[in-house]
Amino acid sequence: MTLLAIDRLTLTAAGTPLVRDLSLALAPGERLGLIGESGSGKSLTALASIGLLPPAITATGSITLADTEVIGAPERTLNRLRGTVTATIFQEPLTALDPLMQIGRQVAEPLARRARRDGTPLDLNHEVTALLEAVALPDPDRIARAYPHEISGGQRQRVAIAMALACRPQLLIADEPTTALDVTTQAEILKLLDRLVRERGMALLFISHDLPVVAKIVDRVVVLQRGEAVEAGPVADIFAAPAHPYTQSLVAAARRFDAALEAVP
Amino acid sequence: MSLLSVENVSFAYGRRPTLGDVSLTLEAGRSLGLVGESGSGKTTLLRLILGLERPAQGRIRFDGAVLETRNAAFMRGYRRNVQAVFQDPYSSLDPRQRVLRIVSEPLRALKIAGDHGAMVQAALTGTGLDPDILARYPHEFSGGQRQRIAIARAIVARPRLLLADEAVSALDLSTRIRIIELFRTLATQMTLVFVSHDLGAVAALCDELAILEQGRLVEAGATRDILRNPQHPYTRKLLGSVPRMPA
Repeated sequence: MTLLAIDRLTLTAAGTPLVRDLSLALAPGERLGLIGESGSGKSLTALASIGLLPPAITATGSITLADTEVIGAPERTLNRLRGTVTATIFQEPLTALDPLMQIGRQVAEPLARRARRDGTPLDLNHEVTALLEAVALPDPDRIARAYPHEISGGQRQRVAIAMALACRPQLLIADEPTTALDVTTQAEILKLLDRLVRERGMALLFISHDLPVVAKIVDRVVVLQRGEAVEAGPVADIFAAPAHPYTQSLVAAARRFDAALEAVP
Repeated sequence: MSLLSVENVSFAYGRRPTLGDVSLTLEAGRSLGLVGESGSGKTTLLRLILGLERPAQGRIRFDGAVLETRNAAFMRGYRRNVQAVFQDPYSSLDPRQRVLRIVSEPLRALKIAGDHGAMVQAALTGTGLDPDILARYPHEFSGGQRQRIAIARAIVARPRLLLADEAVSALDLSTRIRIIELFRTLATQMTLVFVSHDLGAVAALCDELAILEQGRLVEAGATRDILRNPQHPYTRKLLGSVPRMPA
């Protein structure tokens, strides 16, 4: 069974192709990394997968999410998929949260939607605390009463993850979720994501330009260059023996930084 | 004598202490990486070295002379010797000006005599840019090329000390590698202070490292020594957090 299937996806803006003939598939519980530099089309691919493309971009090909065609689907169909099938976390947790709303209320919103959808009553306060605890936030009651500007960037990203988990999605899409974070915070968030994805049996589509970060969390990768997939396969194989010249250059660059850190001349 | 010395410098924005009792020295011709996470005070220290802020306590010396931020004549001479490159190559270049005018700005501001056109062309060549781009505008260039233009502007007056604040952080991996190469070449011609949260970039570039945590200098020394044998627990945590490629 396939959870997300992208088949010959082409994204065009004003006649310029931004993503070309991209195909990939993700089964339940699988972890896939989309690697590429700015302008490679990796974030657009993620947005297309959840039907959030800007109006100026035209999509052809097919994207099926839990057996539902996304391209051309009406907003009502897409809204049903978002949350139940998939949830997304973005790079900048500050803009993902409403600055005027207490954290607890923001986390409660998707929980309340899920309760209405499933027709099962929820003790919202209890559920909010449980979710904030699940993302390892210290003193969840205090955090629930805080506004986004009162907590750190790492804590905000944890809140964004809690909100994504609230709907119990089958697929978590993470678009550069640690790029804006400090390196020690990044290490903690990667560990957290790894644990949550494993415990909850979610599939993960992880988008990043940072090769070592991707290697820490996914099993397979697709390498994008200017909108085209140039290489795909298990992360260990591709990073050990990249076949495409572009992947080779990325891997060599990443290894040079590693060597510098090992103080190898 | 050290080219740059920071002596027991403390600084606070309002009542919040940002830097506490920081001391370090840098010999001419060496490159120093200032490393720390958000809130560590690394950018504040760079602003103090640039003379954009005045220390609450302590002092900064350049070539033996104490930095006098309120002395305009002193600061003009200082600017000639000390120039900076910042993180965002999109906001640091005036979009309405052509490359010639952007890169020659320090020559005009510092009233440096001579053939400005030739000096700009030499600076462009020195940063790996085609000297024929003088009449073009910033929007015609990629992020990496813009950062080269910003670097050309910083070196056009031939400063002795070049300060770079997260100057490669906004760039893609392959561009980052090339700009680090450029800084490495420049570091053979001038003294360099390279502020970054990116330990890999600093390790690839700098002879010396200074590590800041919440406004305190926790460790400083030769890059090779610190990487091989970090002494402070925070340095060890920082190094341990950097993700590495699988073996």
